[in-house]
Amino acid sequence: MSLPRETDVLIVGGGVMGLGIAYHLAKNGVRDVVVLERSYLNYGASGRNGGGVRMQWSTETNIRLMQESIELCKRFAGELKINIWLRQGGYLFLARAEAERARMERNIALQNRCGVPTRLISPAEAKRIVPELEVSELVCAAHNPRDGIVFPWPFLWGYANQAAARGVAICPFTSVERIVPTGAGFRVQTSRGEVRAQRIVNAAGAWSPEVAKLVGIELPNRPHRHEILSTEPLKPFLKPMVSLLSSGLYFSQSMRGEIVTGISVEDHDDGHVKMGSRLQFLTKVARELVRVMPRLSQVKVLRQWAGPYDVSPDGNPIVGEAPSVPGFYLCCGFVGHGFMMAPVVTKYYGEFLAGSARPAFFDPWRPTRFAEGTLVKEEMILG
Amino acid sequence: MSDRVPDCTVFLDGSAVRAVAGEPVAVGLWAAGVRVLSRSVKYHRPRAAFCLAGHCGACLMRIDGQPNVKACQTALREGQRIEHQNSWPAGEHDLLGAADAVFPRGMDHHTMFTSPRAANALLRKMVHRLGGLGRLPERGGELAALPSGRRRKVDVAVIGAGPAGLAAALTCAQDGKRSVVVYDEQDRPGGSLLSHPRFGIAAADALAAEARAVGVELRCHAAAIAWYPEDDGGLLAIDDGGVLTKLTARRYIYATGSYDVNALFENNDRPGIWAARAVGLLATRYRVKLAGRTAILGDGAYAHALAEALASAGSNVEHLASERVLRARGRLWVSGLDLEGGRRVRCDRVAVAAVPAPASELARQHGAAVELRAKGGGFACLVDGRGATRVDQVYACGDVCGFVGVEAARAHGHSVGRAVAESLA
Repeated sequence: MSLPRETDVLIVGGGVMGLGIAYHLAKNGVRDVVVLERSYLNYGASGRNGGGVRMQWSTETNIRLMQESIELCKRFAGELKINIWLRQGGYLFLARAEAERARMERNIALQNRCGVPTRLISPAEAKRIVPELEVSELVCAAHNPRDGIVFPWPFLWGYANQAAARGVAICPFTSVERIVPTGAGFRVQTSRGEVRAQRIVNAAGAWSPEVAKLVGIELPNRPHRHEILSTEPLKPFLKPMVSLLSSGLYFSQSMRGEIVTGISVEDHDDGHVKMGSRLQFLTKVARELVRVMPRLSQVKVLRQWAGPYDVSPDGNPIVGEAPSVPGFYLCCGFVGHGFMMAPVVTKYYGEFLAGSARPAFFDPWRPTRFAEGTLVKEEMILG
Repeated sequence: MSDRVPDCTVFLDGSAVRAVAGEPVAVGLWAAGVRVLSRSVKYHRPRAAFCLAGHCGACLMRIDGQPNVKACQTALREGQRIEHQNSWPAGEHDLLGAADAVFPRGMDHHTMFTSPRAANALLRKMVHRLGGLGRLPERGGELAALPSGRRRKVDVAVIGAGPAGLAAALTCAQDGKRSVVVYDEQDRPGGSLLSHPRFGIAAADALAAEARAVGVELRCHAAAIAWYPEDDGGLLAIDDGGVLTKLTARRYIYATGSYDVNALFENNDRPGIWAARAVGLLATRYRVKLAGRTAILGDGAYAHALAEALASAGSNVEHLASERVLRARGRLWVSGLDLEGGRRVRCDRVAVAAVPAPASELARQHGAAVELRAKGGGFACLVDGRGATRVDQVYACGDVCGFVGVEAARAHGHSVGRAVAESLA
């Protein structure tokens, strides 16, 4: 794709956020849109995540948005002409410590008020949902049968193809080198020449602090490596995504039959995106997984990889126009749940940039909240 | 002539099969007349062993309750339970193979039935049910039984006990001044020597004995699985007979050889179409009498050596050195080949002698540069005259640097072994 010389909206980042916003802009009549991606599309977290979509959160904003996001996932195939393999097998959160029970009860009460049918269940009941579970160490579990998993890659194909079909210029392997505000927009120097843009959207995920720096903005989010692996394909047996609150272990069975699993591993934070794989992760996740699913001890690992979480101080995204640079919009800091939120976030973000009302989530996720000190912590961060 | 005498009974989908204990399951079942070993995931096409080296994935079966086991890498033993996977209703019979006939141009499951919603929901349900390959393992181990890793430090680690690796190891160890250990994923040392009719087990054992005599430690059933640059300053993870070895060495020599590749023609995945080196293994290592007619495709030195060896053993050979094959005939087993120009060749098996692809991914993971060789089957590891890659302490020799065949690989191994010894002097 040749690089346009001028555009209305220039989106930095060819992941699910950037492509989703581009699609919704084009769908709402703004077709003068350019997406720049430094590598191949979905190179970052969008192409490396576990594909979980859940309504079990600890803040009302996240719960309500994810209810809507899963609704949008159900309609995705019809609208974008591509299957995303949504399977609502539920999410089963396991608690090992009594202290986790109170937190679970509080979150379930909030979820129930929002209309999410999460239930606190006993270890025995959890074992009825996943018979292979080792439940002797568990105190209770939270189960929402409407959570599920998707296959991440078709989101890219759907958004990118449909955006391109409406005239959006999608430019992979094009990096942004300099951004100069001109008062009436921006002059953006890329590795493939200059583009003049009226507005810029920073949807660069874990790289968004670097992009923000180009216009002098210091963002508080930091990249954090998360590792993941997948196993040999097995016939379907595991219904829900299962997660242990205490260790951050999660595992599910993909449409292709692989067990996809990850866990948090210590990492030193030097501010740079790291995507190497470590043996440390492999041995840790294997031990923790077999501790709750002994039947999986002989299952063969086929591959492991890593992706960058874009971690904000309070676990919530950073969204909206940067107060110091008019016309420069942020859509970052999604802390490992950006993918599942992309269907709903990009819909409203795209409609907003196309002239609709400012979405409600712009308020709790406004970039100025860190300076104001009004943080609402999201507790349900995994992996 | 064959000196194979069946001495054990195994059970295929519950039926008794007589076999030679110690031989690979894939070889024993084939010798006993079993044709289809597995079904492809999506179209349920019949598959059987292609490479006999554990690399092609065409012989995955359920063995003693474990799913997706490579039948070519598993030794037969008395009472073994072997089952077909991914077929319906069961065994060699798979009605889902109809998918292949119903969609002759293939089916794009990503874009099919995206609407209406009811059709899409049904599609998702069906795809979910049909997905996956083997069933969950019957048993899991106890946590306590999980093997823990062990650390190991050596002077020189050689990956691959083929002609290049063995030669490099023995040259490097000759003066007795350093510890040299060779890891190989196969059940015995020799690599491509074992499948070459002019070398075979005797030559492999002789080279291995020579290496052991100068103090080289040979470890088989030991697959190097990954180079981890960040763990403990960099380590090579080895699955050494089911136990993790975290290996660090002063020098690493990648002698990982090459993968067999197929030629491009219609139905090239039919059972009975083997890599030429797999047919070489059947004849040379396993001493199976090759009844009927063998069509050999390819013009390389190996194709000629195999054709000559099979012919002199009294086998009926059709060597198609330069003819272009259009398609294979036969439904569950190959029965012939259609050639360009209209000629049809009848055969009972096909040996494809395409240029093997360098097994360069591990060296590449360790930082070695690779280069795509258009006619060389894949990415070759780049080395200088001493076998050194662009990364300090990392060397490579043999087919991994571009396919050269047994003798040249051995010679390269000797010279790289010498260079590595000098670098440590």
